[in-house]
Amino acid sequence: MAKLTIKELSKSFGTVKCLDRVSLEVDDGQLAVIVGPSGCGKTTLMRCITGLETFSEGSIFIDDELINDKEPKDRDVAMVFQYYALYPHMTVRQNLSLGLEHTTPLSRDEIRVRVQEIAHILRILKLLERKPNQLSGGESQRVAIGRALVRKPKIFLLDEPLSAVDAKLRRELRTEIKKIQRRFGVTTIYVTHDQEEAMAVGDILVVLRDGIIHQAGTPEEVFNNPKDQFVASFIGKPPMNFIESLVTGRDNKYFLENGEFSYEISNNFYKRYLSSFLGKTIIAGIRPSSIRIILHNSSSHAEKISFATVSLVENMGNENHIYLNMDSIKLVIKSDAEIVPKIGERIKISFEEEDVHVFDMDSKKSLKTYHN
Amino acid sequence: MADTIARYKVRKGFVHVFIYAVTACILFPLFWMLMTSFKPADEWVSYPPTWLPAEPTLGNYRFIIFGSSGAFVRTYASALIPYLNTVFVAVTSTIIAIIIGLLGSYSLSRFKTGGSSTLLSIIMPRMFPPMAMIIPLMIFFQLIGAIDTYWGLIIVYIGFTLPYSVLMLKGFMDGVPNEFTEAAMLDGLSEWQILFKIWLPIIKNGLMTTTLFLLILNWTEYTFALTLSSRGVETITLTLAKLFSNEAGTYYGPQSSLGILAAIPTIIFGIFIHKHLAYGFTFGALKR
Repeated sequence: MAKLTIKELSKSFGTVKCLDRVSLEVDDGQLAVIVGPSGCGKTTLMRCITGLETFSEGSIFIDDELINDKEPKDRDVAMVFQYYALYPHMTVRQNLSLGLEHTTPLSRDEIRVRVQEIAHILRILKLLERKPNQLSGGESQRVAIGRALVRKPKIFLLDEPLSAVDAKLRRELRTEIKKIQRRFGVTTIYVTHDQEEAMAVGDILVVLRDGIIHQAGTPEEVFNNPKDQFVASFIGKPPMNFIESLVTGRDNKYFLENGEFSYEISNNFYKRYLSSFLGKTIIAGIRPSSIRIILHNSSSHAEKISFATVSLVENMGNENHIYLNMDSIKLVIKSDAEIVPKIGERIKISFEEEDVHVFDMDSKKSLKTYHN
Repeated sequence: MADTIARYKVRKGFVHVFIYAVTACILFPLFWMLMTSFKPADEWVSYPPTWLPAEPTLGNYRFIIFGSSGAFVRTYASALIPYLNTVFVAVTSTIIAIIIGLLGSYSLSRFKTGGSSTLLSIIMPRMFPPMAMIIPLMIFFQLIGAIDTYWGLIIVYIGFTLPYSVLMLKGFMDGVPNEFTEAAMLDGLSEWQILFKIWLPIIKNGLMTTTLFLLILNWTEYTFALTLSSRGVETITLTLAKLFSNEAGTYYGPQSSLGILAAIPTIIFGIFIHKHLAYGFTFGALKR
């Protein structure tokens, strides 16, 4: 259990900068998920923390102790590899014991006790005499976690632990991992490209792209207040809808307009976020879950209604994803499973102003976060 | 559908026949040698040839083990000493070449020592026909007093099998996924410990295969044994070559007996490690 601090970490492979002044703080006992598309540098960042990779600038501190020049084995960190990397010629017991034999002064008996403890917690007691090729996917993963945690490391790292696992098992295992982490209270860094996994598992999310941290915060923060368009589009499934809109005003009323699409915004909204953008184009964003379908018979008072044509309906079981066209604008919305419009049907949709995100056209930064 | 199955079965049949035929061709010389080793002199090259000895005898084996006196034109000493010489020289040079090869290939595979052309520069000299080296080597050995010595022969054998040792072992080592090494680094193992506790067990099969390969090379080597140590260290190959006379021709019988006796240790070793052999030849990546 320890605090991890990363300051201005940079790493280049030749001319390619794969990590660019990354700074991060993870508190004692927190589970931080580093999430981003493939090639964003998340695995590289993790390997720099473990010491398996070197970096050109910056510093890494564990409990305020600089560890830049320390060997991997002296950093007191432990990692679960993407493909587990359990030593194939050793039994599970030997796999679990090896690290303790070489990094701690514990006696054989003490090691035996520790291995029993962790095997009991992870429910792998009956697997102790087996070899890795006799284990199932879930069992292998628990052994890999056991191998890391038996050393009671300061920092616990997991490199895409669920990528080698099928979808159903993934849900079960990610819950298990979260429970295990809670139980041990170890500071954890978890790397994944799956944003849903990140949201489910993390105490804080660190959204990384091309070596730069776009945002770090709790899942709620990152979901509700994305700092830029990338974070807004990356987090959330189906991804946020974006509409390039012109900010217009007439008769003391303000609108976001694109072709037939015309959405009135309150004076408040305009003054807070868009006052310097009158006559300019911005990117409006609205999550699929925030858009409602207005059914024929139910019509409310001042609903801001827009019309759209259904192009595709995806039946997901518990919900439907409905793809719509509004002129050249493409939208996707979530609905209850009972609502199944026909393709080509023209339907009424509506959404609240408070759910609308606005982004600068050039910098892609959120105008809500960076408003003056 | 039935037609395809029928064609598949016919094709499978052909494959089976082909495999049996090839196996028979490979095993035939061994079979003939075994039979000849029990044949008396008048059956060695008789026409029509006899498949099984008409009058089986242990005379050839007695000849080899105890030597002969007077029964043939020349007297032959027992082949026991040459046998033991071969065992000693082949096994020693194989073991040393494997050990050095392990260290070298670990260096090349793990640390990429010397850059990308190092492996090539180790292999290239071995592409030179050993025959071409005989004269300079003989002169050099004369200078350092290595002619007719055990250690001289062993050094030559090591020198000529080391490139194979390094090449093959490096190939197997390259197949060890990086993750095992990294996991071991995090587990606190030193470089030596990683080699002996992690890599060696993983490439065990490749190691067995390479050892057998080197053993066979050393066991059957003739040229250097002939030129560099024929008087001091006589090996089986030299003894086999001596088994002829201008008067009586080649002594096929004793040659076959010695051949059979010489083949036994390597066959036993091969059986001992045969499980590892198949794996060693078809080494696939160890995923997970």
